[in-house]
Amino acid sequence: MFDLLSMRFAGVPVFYVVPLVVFLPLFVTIVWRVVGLRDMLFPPPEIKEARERLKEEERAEKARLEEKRARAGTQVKMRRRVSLGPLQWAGQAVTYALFAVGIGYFSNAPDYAAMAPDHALIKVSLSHPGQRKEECRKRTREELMKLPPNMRAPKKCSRERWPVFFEMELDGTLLYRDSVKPAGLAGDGHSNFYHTVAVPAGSHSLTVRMRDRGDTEDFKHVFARDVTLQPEQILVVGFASDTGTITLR
Amino acid sequence: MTSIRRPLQTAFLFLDGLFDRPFGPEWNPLRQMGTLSFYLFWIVAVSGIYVYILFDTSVAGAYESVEYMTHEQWYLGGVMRSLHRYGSDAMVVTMALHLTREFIFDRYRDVRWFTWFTGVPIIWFLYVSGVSGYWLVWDQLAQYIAIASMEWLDWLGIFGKPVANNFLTRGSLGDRFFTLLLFIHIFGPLFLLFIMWIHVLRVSQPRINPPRGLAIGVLLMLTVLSLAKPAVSHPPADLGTTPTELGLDWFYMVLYPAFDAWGPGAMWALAVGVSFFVAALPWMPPLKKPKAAEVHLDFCNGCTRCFLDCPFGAVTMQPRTDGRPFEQEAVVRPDLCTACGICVGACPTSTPFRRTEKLTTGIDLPDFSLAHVREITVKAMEKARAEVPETEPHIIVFGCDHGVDPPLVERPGVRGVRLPCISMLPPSFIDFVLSRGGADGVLITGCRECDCFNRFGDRWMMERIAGERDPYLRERVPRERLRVSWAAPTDRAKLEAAVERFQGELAALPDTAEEAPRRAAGGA
Ligand code: HEM
Ligand code: SF4
Ligand code: SF4
Repeated sequence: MFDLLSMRFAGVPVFYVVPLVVFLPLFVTIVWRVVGLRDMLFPPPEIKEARERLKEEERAEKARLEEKRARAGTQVKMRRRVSLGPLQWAGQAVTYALFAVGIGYFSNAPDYAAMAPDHALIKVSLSHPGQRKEECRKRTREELMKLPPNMRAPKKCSRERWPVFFEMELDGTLLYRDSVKPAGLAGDGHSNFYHTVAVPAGSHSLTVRMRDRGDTEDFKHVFARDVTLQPEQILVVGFASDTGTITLR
Repeated sequence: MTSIRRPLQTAFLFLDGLFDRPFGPEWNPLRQMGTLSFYLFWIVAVSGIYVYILFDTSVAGAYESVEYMTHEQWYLGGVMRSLHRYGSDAMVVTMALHLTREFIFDRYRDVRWFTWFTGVPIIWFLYVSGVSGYWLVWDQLAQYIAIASMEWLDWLGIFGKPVANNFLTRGSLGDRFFTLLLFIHIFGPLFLLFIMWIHVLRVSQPRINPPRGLAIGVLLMLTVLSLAKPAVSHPPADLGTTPTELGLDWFYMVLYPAFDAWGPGAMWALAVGVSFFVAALPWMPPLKKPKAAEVHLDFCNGCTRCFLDCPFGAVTMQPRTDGRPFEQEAVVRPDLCTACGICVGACPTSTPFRRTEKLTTGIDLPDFSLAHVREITVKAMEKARAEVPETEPHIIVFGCDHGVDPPLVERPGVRGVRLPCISMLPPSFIDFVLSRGGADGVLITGCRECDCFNRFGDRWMMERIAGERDPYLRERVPRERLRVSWAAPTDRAKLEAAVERFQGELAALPDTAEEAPRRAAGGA
């Protein structure tokens, strides 16, 4: 079958070319004659003349205005174009220099003593869950029957925990004491401690006490040790939940 | 608030004058703090991209890579690092001066509230960007500043575990967390740029780029500083010890000593409190402004001049609604209009020559109408004439609400007319005053050059006089009878001197004396 759509000429579908062959000349003619590309590129003499005339008129108008201005005498001084003489340039240089000195200086001076150099830093960083406020208990049969079938867990556990209480003494004086509530909206998360305190370097006796329930005054964890702190040293007081011991790093 | 501002304005104007001498009004850096801030951002961005190429993003390699660029490649890497640091520092200064200036000159209330309000998060993001940059060097300063920043964040208690724990001991800091810090330093500046864009969104024709002379000067200054005093690091970070003596970058870290002294809670209160206070300033108290400009369609031909000249983008052009054969009509958005009157001065129908009973124009201020302007101008002309003999020169001084109050420079034969903004004066009024024999000279004054309260008042006026902007001052107006002398409220003596000189020059003009009777006869 004679299929125009799939016919190709030198690899190009004829389907593309045919409309071009028909419409391109038409388009070119229109642009050339009707839109006036011809007159634009090769203007006929009368248009050339008219243009010249216009230009001449413009020139005359300009000259007339110039003359008028000249007659008007002193012009209003437009923007005060400051003519920059050597003095101005020097002034600018001085201004820049002063600014640069200010920036350069305060970008790392004067020094700041973040901590006295003969001190060491003790960081308390520990995360420990307090004890549950209520022990888990078995639900009775009646209680279970009242719950929807998918929620019939045999044990009822209140998830709320006690706050954790922590205190630290150095050579018998209290350094830090805090009671931290459990994290989380339900009060069921860990209690997180983070605290730093600078102490004089040297040998000290360090005592740390911690309890994780609020219904007793007894400390569950007590830790005492002599430590020697170098200047600028960081000593981290932590708690290893797996072994249940207070640690020093 | 105004009573605090007054003396500060005087101080600022004095400094402006001082800087005008070497720099000239256009290059005066004090008037370019916003554009300079933008420009410094670009410097910091470009140098930052270069520094990033040489930067090693691992905890172990970061410090060494910064040392490499500082010492081995000092001529490029080192210079770029220094440009990055000093550019950021300079940005704090330019931003602070910029916002102080806008505050002192009362350019933050009324329609400008949006620009002011969006400036506040800019401060936050600039600090996030700067401080996070210092973390990446991973020297002792980085260690100090990172830990303090994290302790500050931890106070909020929004993270499951304290983030400061990432810096607890040698080996605590992992590459993953370090990469997060790097991300903060990349996205902080990106957000900063975004908010800077929002900041100028409602400013019509905002000036973003400083004048070329100033741009070259600043780049030169930073480069020389970078070569003379290259930015260097502290000793490498060591999480087993804590740094003691530190050379802080006080531009970004001024609050850290306060943090050490007062703790995180107080610093949050301070930061959030001050931010809310500053953000609320535009309404403490709100600026009482006159009624917005109104369009009178009968006189509007949709020429778009008011739209092009309004410094606050309050005029929009919309399709014609009254059936007259024009395509567009001007529409004013009252919430953006400050009633500066610049549009009135731009409208081609604003001419005092018309003989209608009531002077109307395409766009007018209800509280300070063009008819009122003509009335006070005519009165001033009559007064000036009554004061001195016809043969002596009479001058009308047109001024504005924000420069020297024109009546302050009045003397026999000299009368002042005060407008909301000098560009409210249509150029035809100058023609009117001079050609109707009202006066022998017109003196135009207003805020100092490039410092117009209404942003473009001085510029539009000069362009209209020069014939570079519609509506222009007619050719027939004798330029020797027109003077322009910009003067801030503190420049009264200077303006008085200009008036006196002008009077002398007018008296010396050959035709003043001869023409006087004819001028008077043709009177208004
Ligand atoms: C990096 C920081 C900033 C940059 C780059 C910046 C830049 C700019 C620029 C380019 C303009 C337009 C100026 C004009 O064309 O007239 C402007 C206007 C303004 N800025 Fe900022 N700005 C910054 C920070 C701030 C801050 C922190 C505040 C205040 C809290 C502030 C308050 C204003 C106000 C009130 C204007 C309005 C001026 C007017 O409409 O005449 N800017 N700013
Ligand atoms: S009075 Fe000023 S702000 Fe209002 S529309 Fe006119 S030019 Fe714009
Ligand atoms: S300048 Fe006057 S005539 Fe032109 S659009 Fe504005 S109101 Fe209409």
